Amino acid sequence: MQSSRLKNIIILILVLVNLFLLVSLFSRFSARQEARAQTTTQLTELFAANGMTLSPDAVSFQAPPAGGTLPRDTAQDRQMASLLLGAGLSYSDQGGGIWSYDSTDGAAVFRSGGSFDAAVHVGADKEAESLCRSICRQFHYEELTFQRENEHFTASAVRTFNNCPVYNCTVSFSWDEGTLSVSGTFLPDTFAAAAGEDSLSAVSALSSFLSAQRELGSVVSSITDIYSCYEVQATSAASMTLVPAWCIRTDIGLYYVNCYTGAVTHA
Amino acid sequence: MGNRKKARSRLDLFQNIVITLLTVSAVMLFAATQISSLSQGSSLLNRWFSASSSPAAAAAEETAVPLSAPVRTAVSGTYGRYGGVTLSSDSEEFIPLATRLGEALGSARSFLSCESQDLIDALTRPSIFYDFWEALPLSVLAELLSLPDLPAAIASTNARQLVISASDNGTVQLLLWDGSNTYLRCDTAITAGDLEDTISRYELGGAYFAFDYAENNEAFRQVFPRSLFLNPLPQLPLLSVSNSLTDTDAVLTRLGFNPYTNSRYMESGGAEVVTEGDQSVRLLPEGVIRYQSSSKAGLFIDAASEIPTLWEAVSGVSDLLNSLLSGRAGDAALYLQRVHQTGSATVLRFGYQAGGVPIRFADGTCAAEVVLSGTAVSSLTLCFRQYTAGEETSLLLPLKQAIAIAAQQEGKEMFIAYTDNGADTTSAAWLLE
Repeated sequence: MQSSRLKNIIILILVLVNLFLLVSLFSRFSARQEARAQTTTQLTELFAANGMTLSPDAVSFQAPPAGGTLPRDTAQDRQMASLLLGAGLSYSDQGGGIWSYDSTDGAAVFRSGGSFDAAVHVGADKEAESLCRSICRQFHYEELTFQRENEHFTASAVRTFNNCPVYNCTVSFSWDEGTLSVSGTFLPDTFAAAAGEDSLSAVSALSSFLSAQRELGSVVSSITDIYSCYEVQATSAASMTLVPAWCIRTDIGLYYVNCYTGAVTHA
Repeated sequence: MGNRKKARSRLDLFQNIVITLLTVSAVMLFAATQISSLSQGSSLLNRWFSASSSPAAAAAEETAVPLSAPVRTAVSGTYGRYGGVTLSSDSEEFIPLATRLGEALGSARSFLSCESQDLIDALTRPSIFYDFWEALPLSVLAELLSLPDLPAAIASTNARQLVISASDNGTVQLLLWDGSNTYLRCDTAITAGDLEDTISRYELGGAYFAFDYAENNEAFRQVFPRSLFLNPLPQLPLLSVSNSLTDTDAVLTRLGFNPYTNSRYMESGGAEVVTEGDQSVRLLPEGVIRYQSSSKAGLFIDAASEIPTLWEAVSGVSDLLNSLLSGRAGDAALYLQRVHQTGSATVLRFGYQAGGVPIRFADGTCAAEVVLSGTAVSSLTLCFRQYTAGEETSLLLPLKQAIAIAAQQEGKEMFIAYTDNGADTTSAAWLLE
């Protein structure tokens, strides 16, 4: 009986503790939501004061993706070359990070900074188109768009990494008279995340963008979206480094804000 | 009675279950609140931790200065040239050019002799020109520029100027000059398209070589043909100069001496001498230290074997010198001028450079000279200087006047650099060599 009463008291205390923690968590959550709403309002007012419309839905509070280096993986280069050039692939290391690939269907060159070129004999345009789609599917290039003109077509796609577009890493295809030319930047899948770099939030990126527009004499009148992306850079430490960035969609095009330096570039 | 017992035990079980569930729930809610406060306060935590990092770590960060090389470049296209005279190997602007150089050197197999005219002819075609101011072994240059491994056949070749140039047959060649009488060339795996791609990134038209005007101008004909000029002239800051040897005890400690030793005395000339066993160091009043050791118990550099490779010698000695300077060079940094190895002896010389522009000493000496015997430092001379860039710009003599003066000394190379003559400021000026 005694123990039963003791347990009832313990249960009561635990219920009160749980209630207290729930209220505390809820109040933090609502305070954060309120702070975000206030930030969004202030930001939209600031942009409005500078003659730009910022859509409140565009303001993001997600953390930017982590940056890091992409060590060169010649085995993955070979996979890409194999898909492009088909069976009977031979390859040689030219030195200086340059690898050349040959087969009866064509030739390709891959370089240390990720850039590559290939020329492949593909008889029919449907077959060439199918090859373009296979390459994009297998090697994470998205938004493949074709432009057709008479007997030839061109196409391009953007590489994605961890579901974020790498805006300056693209692949271009051109098919004409039985030859498919492919060029672009190839990124390996292996990624070594950088240790603890401070990255700009979306709100800070918008502030950097606003400052840049003021300096340049802005012609932007509305901002409709901001989303995280990557920029691939060559540095002295590594030939391929992924730097997180924010892509700001405006009425006159895309702008990119580097998450480490705050530098703003126009697409 | 039995039913009451059963009811009591069921109640007991129910209470235990409720207590367990509430305890788990409380722990999870507590963890959630802590995670929530951590994510909001993480920037504060980071700031607190970084502020409270140990002085030793801060000192290590201060002295860990990677060695870089000053480099002059010229990118030549069909309609002009781009020039850079204030770059160093760690500049961001140099990275695309370093990448091409890495491809050229990595794909070079064997060199053939050529003439100086071949280098000039190469510069009249689409090309990239590199001048590292000093002739260095390609193996050391490759490490300085973080380039991929070099073929062993060319690693020991010395190079001061290199040119990557499109040849008439559509291939891309690499030509080099070793700073004296040797000119070499070889084919590379770079395509003409790759070279054009790099050239197209630069705005051409602001640079030229002396040979570009030699045909129509006598003065340009007299100077070294590959003297590089920019139009307009570069804006280089005035540097203030000071002796940065302020804490002699710290320097002595880093050299492995006890600063409180009794074997420390002043010479009549003003030099302070400290001896310890077979080691001695002289601290001169003008901010120069001279260390000597004839024993095996002294300063050493890290190396995989008893005789260091050239790069082990360069990186080990530069780390040692930077630890002695301890971040007190201001806006300047040491750069490698010369490395030479004979048997177990390695001789290294370093100079100062500020913003990619070398600082020459008026008396012709260098900023540091180190002699290694195996991995042991047998002698070390270091001149402590601090150079600080000011707001004022150096006033350079107009090129017309400068070249008229230079033309009186036939064949000399004209370039812009700083000269430290012991004054408390130094201005960039035209020099001849």
